[in-house]
Amino acid sequence: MDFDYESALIACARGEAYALESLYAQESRWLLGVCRRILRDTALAEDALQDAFLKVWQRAHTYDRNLGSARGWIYTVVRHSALDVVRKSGREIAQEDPHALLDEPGHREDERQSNAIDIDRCLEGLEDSRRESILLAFLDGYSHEQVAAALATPLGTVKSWIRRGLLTLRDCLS
Amino acid sequence: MIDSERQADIAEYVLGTLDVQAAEALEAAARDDRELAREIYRWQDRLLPLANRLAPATPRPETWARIRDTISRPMLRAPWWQSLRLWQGLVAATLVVAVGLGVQLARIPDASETRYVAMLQTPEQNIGWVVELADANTVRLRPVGALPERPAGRAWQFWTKPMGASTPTSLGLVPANGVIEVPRDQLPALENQQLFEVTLEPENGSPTGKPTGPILAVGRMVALADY
Repeated sequence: MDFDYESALIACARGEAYALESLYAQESRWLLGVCRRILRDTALAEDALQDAFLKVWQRAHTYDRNLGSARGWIYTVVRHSALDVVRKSGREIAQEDPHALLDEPGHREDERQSNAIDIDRCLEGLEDSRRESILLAFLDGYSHEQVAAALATPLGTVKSWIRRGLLTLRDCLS
Repeated sequence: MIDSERQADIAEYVLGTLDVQAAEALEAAARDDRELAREIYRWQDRLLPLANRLAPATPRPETWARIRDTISRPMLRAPWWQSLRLWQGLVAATLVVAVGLGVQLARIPDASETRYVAMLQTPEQNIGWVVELADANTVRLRPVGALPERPAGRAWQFWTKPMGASTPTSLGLVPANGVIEVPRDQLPALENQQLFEVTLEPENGSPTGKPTGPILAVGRMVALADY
């Protein structure tokens, strides 16, 4: 049976700790994967995961199921928590060859594949530079500056790639 | 209608590339702007499938243990008044009750047409106190109906917490008649959705500077703009 993220998050808002535990049991491996990729450090990633789950608990009452999925809401809280850790640590994340990090196969087989196929198709339709910029920002948590450095491209160009790329994605997905 | 520059800002907010100040401004605006909030959720769901590309990693058992220990502390337990069901009904009920009680919705002259009222609800779901503007520069707490019991050696303490604030601010101890007036400039903010509450504390007030006792009544501010 599919896990009901919406009900779990709403139960968190009522202060039901088992609901947070069930969310953690369901999703923590995947969310730690998100944090670890952004932070490139296992201990920092676990700290970010912990911060994120406390935020999920404290902010659950702000989630509105009429507006969108609980899973999308939770991933945003977690990704933003990991990015906060990056900013606070003031650490430059090791630059790696960005091309080596892209185009990984989908790891998550249990998720509804149609959404993933849609966004993959739409990403394929983007110019390479825009696709890479968006993936570096989403998966690796790169700032505009880090994307610019990784792709050896002026900052203003990268900002424009990301913004236009996102708008093209939206049109493609709608 | 959200134009494409705003759309790109919203997308970059979710992506995480929007700068900190702009991101905070967007979050604040989304609390009062449902169309904006909806678009943020849409972008969350548009980008979510990208996370499926990432390899999972199993957290150490200590990580959950720390989370569990933290949320079981009373201060961090999500309190009863955060219940969605309670709040869904309460905003509408507040307006009805306000009319029924003949609450004076104070006007702020000139600068703004916004009026403010908060109904503080008891755990039994009665209205215990009302927070309103006594005049443009004074916020007043006054009781509705019978005052709750005040055991000897205890005090009622009045608090507020704006949206996004991490801790409540004390607005003082409430006298025995249940009425207290606070100069508006002593409040950290005065805005829609701002939380007000009255708690039962030791005689001289909370020793920690944060609410420690049971909540006697709590409610959120409703800002009523004239259109």
